[in-house]
Amino acid sequence: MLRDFSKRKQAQFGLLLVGLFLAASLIGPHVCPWQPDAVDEAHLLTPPGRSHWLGTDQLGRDILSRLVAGARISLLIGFVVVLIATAVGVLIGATAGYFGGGVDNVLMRLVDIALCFPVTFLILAVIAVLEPSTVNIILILGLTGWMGQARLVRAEVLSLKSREFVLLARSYGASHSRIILRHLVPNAAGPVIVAAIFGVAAAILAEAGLSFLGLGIQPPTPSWGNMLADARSTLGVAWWQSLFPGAAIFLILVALNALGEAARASLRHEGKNYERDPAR
Amino acid sequence: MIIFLAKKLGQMVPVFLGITVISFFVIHLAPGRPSDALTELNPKVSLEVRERLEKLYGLDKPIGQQYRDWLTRIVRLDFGASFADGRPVTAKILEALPVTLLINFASLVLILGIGIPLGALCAVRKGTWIDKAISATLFLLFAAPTFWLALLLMDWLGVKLGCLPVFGIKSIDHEYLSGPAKVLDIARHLVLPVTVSTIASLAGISRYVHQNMVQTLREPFVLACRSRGLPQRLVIYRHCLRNALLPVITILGLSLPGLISGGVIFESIFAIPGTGRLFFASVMARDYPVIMAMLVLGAVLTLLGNFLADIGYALADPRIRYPKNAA
Repeated sequence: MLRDFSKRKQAQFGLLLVGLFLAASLIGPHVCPWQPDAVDEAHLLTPPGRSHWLGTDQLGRDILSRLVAGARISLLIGFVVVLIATAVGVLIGATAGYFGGGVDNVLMRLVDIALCFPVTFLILAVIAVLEPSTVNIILILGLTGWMGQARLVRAEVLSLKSREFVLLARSYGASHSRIILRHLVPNAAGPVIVAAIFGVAAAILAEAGLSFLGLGIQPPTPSWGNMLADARSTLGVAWWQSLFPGAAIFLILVALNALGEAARASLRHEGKNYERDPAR
Repeated sequence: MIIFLAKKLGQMVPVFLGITVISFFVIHLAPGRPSDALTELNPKVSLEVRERLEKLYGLDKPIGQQYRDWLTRIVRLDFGASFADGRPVTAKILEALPVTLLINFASLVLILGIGIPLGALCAVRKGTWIDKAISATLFLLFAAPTFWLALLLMDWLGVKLGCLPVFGIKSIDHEYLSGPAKVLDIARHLVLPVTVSTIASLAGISRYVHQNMVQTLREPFVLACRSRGLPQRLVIYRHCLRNALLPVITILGLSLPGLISGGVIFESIFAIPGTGRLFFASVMARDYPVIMAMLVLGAVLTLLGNFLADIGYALADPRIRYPKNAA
């Protein structure tokens, strides 16, 4: 699957872009001459130019430096959220699929219930109750995003658990948890990875949206979302202030979606090979 | 069909109870007391006043009792009074609903009207430059954050060119305009919000139609139609498109909760006094009765949307109404 994946143009493009973002977020802060939160009253709303490549905002802060600092937070949130969501989803989905019966019924009703809530409503309601801090945002996004993974893993496990290798594992006395974690979950990895890639994109977008509303990452910590929120007050005056942070979100989403599409296509491709060649 | 409906309805009851439990207890996770929101800004509030407030909202009772009281009230659609201004929650929601309904309906019409033909076109012309151009554009639109597009459009069309209003749904002098001018005024205010919310979902639906259509075109009955000598147009529009559109029923069902959850973000960008902004304002003000009511309503609408989609599906496709093994 990896070989097919790395040959796809979409995958190469996506990897390149994500790599650029990662590199910028790791190296950028040490290279940029400006501090992301350094206020410079002499250079308010400077258009993009030689000293400030992407201009400055209404407090004279360098937009490029802030973008780079924001990249670190956005990527971090995206990956950690998906890690949490995937862990919870895989655990619940695999348990439901493996044990079936009453356990399955209860867990899947839980998924149904959780899926009923409009996501933005649920997230905002929890934020109303807790304080919007980075840790809380990660927890909230992670704990509201596992349902899709749970359904996916359950379906995979259901179709896998009657296969011979599971019977074999059981016959030499493997415990339930060992069968689930060592035999079933790794075999369900393909669709989970595809969903996780799209999940990172969704989490980054959700964080940006929350920060835009003022309920995500709190200033002065820069994030792409709260930079766009700042840009609302300079509409029609400083186009660079709304263009660049949004473009950053847009590009990372394009990259992640391209990666996700390529991974999905490779998975389907592999599935076809599998059908054609049952000996594999 | 009746058995089918009864079964679906039966499955909805435990889910509904679960929805109410979650909506109720999410809010009661709050550290401190719910009355804090009412009193924390006022240092003069004595313990006595606080206790009176809590009695008024029933907050002095055990939590199980509170949940039961609340549940019996909401099944009668009584969501209590808002903390913010003491008005009934139901009235506040009904007041915000028409604008959101209008925008959602307008953009739904546009989404279906543009998205379905685009998707079908791509499928029929699969592999040509038309397909590639449309698909690439939709792929990019799919990734563009709506609040960014909204800002760019506001900046460009609203502020720089000044040809469209940017905020709210009415001009300041709205009251003094004549009848048709009033309608025009609102319509002009709605152009940007409707455009943005259309773009947001356009890509999703047309890719969906695209995929379904490609699959349908491979089915044996298409070959049968062609071999009978039916003209290409008839084959595609009468026979294929109909089949490919079946899953769109699901999307229509799923869009029902959007009527109330709306776009929280984009309603607050455009300062549209709809349900999305009501929810946002309630979150900012920690107006718990409104938050709880809208959580429940949003989730129930999802449930209802799924149910209606199931019915629609069963009506449109007899294979679902009469499962093979049941016959």
